[in-house]
Amino acid sequence: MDPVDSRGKSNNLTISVSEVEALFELFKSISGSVIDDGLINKEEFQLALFKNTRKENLFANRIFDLFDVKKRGVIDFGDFVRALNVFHPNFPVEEKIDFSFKLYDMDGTGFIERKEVKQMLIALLGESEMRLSDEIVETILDKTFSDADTNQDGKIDRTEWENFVSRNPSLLKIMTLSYLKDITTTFPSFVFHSEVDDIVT
Amino acid sequence: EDNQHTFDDEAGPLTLNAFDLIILSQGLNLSALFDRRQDYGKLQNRFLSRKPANVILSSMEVVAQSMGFKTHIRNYKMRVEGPNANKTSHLTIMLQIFEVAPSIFMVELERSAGDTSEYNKFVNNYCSKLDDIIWKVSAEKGKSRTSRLSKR
Repeated sequence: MDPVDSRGKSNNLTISVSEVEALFELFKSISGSVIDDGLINKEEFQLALFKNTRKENLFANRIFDLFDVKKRGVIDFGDFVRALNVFHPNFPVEEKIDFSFKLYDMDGTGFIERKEVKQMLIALLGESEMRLSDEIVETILDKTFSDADTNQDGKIDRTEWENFVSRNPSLLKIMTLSYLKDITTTFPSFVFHSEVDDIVT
Repeated sequence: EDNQHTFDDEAGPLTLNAFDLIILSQGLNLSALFDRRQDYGKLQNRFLSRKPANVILSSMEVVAQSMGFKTHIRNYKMRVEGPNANKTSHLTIMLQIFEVAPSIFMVELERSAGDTSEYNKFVNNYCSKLDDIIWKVSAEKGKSRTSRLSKR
C-alpha cells in the first residue's frame, strides 16, 4: 500500500491503530461470511448490509464500486479502511461532498445527469414499495433541478453540487458514521502501513 | 399524551427533493455494516398518502391511541410509545410527514427504541389500520385502489 495515492494525495487516516484493529475484526467477519478469502465480494457486501446475499440494490452497488478502487470486483482490507475513513465524523466535508458526487455520477461523466437522478429516484421508490406516476416523478425532478442546476443545463456539475449540499446539509448525513466517532487521533500513513502488515500476517 | 399540537409558523410539512428521498435507501445506510446481529427486519418504513397533511396526522394519532400507545406531536412529527403486546418491553416509533410533490405526502416511520420484531409487528398492524389514508397505486396505468380490494 503506497503512502501516496495515484493523485499524489497522502493516505492520511483519521482512524487510530486500535480502531484499525477493530475494523479488521469487522472486515474478517464480513469477508469470511461466504468465501473465506480475506476479501469482500459483492454477495458478502450485500449480506452485511441487508442480511441477505441476494438483495440487489443500485445504491449498494455504487458504494461497492467506490470502495473497489482497483476495480477487481472485491474489496480488500486497505480499500475497506480507506473508504470508511471518508465516513469518519472528522474527515473533511469537502471529501465527503466529493464522494457523494461520485456516488451519484453513476456513469462517471463528471456530471449528475437528470436521467441518473431519475433512475435513482425510481430505485428508491421500488425499494420502498411506493409507486408514483412518471408525471409525478418528473415534477419531483423539475423541482430538484430548479434548485440544484443553477445554469439550467439539465445536469448538476461539481460546483453546483457543492452549493446545493451547502444549502441542504442533511444530504450529507449518509456520509458520516457515528460508530467511528470516538476516534480522535490522526494516524500517519507510514505507521498505518507497518501496523497493517503486522495485523494481516 | 399531548392534547395541544404545537405548530411553528411554517405552512406545512417539509418538502423533500429527489436527493432527500434517495438517501433514505437502505443501500446507503452503511451503519448496518457495524450491526452484526443476525435478526432480519426493517427499522424504517414509509408510505404515500394523498390526504391532506392534517388528516394524515390526526388519523395516525387516533389509530396509535386506539392501539394503546401514547402520542406526542410537534409540527408534522409524531412520537408513538408504549409497551409491547405482552407488556414485557417498551417500543418507541418516530413518524414524520413530508411533502414529496404538490398534495402528495410521504410518511416515514422509524424505530427509535425497542425490539426489531416488535417494531415490525407494530408497523404491520398499524399500517393495516391506516388503510384509508395510505395511497397504493396499482401497476396498471396509475389507477388508484385501496388495499381493501385485494382481499377477495
